Amino acid sequence: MSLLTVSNLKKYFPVQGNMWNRKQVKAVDGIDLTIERGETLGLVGESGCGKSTVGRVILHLHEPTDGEIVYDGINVTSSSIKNLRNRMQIVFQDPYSSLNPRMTVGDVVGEPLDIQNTCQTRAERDERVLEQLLLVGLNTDHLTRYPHEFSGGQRQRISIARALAVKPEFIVCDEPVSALDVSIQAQVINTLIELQDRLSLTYLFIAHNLAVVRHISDRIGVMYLGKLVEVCEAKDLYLHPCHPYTQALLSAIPLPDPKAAKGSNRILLQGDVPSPIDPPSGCRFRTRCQKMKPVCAEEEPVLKEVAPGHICACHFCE
Amino acid sequence: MEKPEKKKFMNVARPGSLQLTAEDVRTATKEEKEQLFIMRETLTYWKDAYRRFLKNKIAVAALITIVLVALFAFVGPMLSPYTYDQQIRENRYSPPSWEHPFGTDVHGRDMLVRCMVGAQISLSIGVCCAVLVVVIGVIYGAISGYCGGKVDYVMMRYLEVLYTIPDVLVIILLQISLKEPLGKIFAGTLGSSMISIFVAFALLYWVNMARMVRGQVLLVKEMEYVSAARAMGAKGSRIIFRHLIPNSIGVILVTAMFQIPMAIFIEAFLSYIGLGVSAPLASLGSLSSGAIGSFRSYPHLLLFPAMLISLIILAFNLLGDGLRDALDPRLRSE
Repeated sequence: MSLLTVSNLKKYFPVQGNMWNRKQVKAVDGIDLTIERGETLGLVGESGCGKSTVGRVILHLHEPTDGEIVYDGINVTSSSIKNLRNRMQIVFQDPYSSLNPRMTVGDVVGEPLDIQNTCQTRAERDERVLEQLLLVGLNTDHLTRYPHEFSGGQRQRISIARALAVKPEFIVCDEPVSALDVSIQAQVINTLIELQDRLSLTYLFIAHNLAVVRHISDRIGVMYLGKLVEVCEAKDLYLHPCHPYTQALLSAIPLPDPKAAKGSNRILLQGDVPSPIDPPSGCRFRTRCQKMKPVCAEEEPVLKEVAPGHICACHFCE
Repeated sequence: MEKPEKKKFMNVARPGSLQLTAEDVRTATKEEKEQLFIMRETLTYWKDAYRRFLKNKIAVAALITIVLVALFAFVGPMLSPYTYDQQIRENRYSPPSWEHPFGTDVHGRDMLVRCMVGAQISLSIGVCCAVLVVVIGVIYGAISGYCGGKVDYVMMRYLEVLYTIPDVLVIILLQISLKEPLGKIFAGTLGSSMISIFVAFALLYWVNMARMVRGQVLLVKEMEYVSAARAMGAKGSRIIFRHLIPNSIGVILVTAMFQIPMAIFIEAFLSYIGLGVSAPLASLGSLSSGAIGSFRSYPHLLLFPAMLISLIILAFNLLGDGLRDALDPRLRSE
């Protein structure tokens, strides 16, 4: 049985408008996904496509508008989430706003333990905090220091230590490396992979950098405008991208070899992402798609299996 | 981390000699490396603010002035040979002299000691009102900002209603209505006017504080560490007291600092129009108003209390400015 099953998840945010004319941003509009125990599911898509919202709704940081989240056989609701808080955790994107500047690192990492009342004695708590810090490559000296004394990469390690403090099984990594520079990205990613092996963690890894996602993920989901358009094995996605949006995304990755780059035909998408307040009818990608046919405007494509373990939502996928 | 070449020179046994031994070029042991690895001394928010504050000469001068005025007000009366209600009949309206540095008033009371007592009352009112404002304003503002949505809307509209009530009118009404019941409880110690100033502050003056705190809370609430705390299962009270208020402390302190001179000013104003503390107790305001009648003949009676009020209010305002620059550099008005 899979660890996490999300079905028909929707999250609409109210924006502007008055009592008679409510407008909503459809940040996530009907998503189904499953995550197996011990795997890493990468979630990619451009800014504003709702990938971060998916992660936050799973943890009930936002109340879902509709849909069902089942974690390890338990239906996640606002009441049952309380008992799941020590099994699911999150690492945020911005290492500068994810740590309280008025708390020492020891208190930051110890906070989940205090909230969950995990430790009976103060000594036990301190020991556990130190254990977490050592786990992510920090040491005793850092306990009494404040977050502003650390670099971005170190701060992200502190965030990871905090998420791990309650010994969760599942961690939502909400663009954990997007704010770091490339050399530090690799360090943090490797730490995450190492921790996954040691503690048998399951990740939902949200990112917009395809190279990073390929490195860490077992499977990858591609999102566009609140919808999942393609899910498949990580290797498969790069070799046989099926959805036109995925193809365009992959062709946008810069190639290190200039000769190869010259020969490759980049797919340049026309126009901007449509507004999520009023998404296009039928297929959401049709306004920018090269394969657009009249059927795309009328009928919304559903996710169907095109190859074993490879699902795609496009009318022209075989 | 130190490079090995540099270490070599540090360990040379015979200075000036170019001969090297194996000892000079060995690699550093782990302990030695750790010794060289010194992190910058931890600089907390408070230390940092303290450093910035000390750089501001005007604010430091204001702080020293306040300390001196406080000593003058609270320690001074103990050292003075006179008490504030002691009448020296033969010395009425005496000008400043060695015996009475601030002169004496119509009843021959020593003005120096009366100014001390007056300053004592003014300072107490300022500080007590600031404490009241902080407690009520911070809790109200934090709850309003944290809950957001409809709760915030209702709480803010209520606050706007309070804001429109004329404050002096409320104080006068309170004073008249509270005179009877409170006069019995606090007979002799605190006048009903002081109590009514406290009550008025508790009722009305936290509005500004609540607004400032709410604004700051709205800002801090969006920070990811608050989301992280919620993901850990933190309750609202924990988020407010551990995350939101500590990160608003700069705004709170600064607003409180500006509240003190305001309270002092209002007390002085009320005393001046005759609604202040009752005789023989004196506040700086009542001393000034008493001196108005004989201003042309005895200007020193007005001069000293008026100067003290100005000094206290100026010093608190400058201190507030300095604190704002030190605690909350973003609020700096330039």
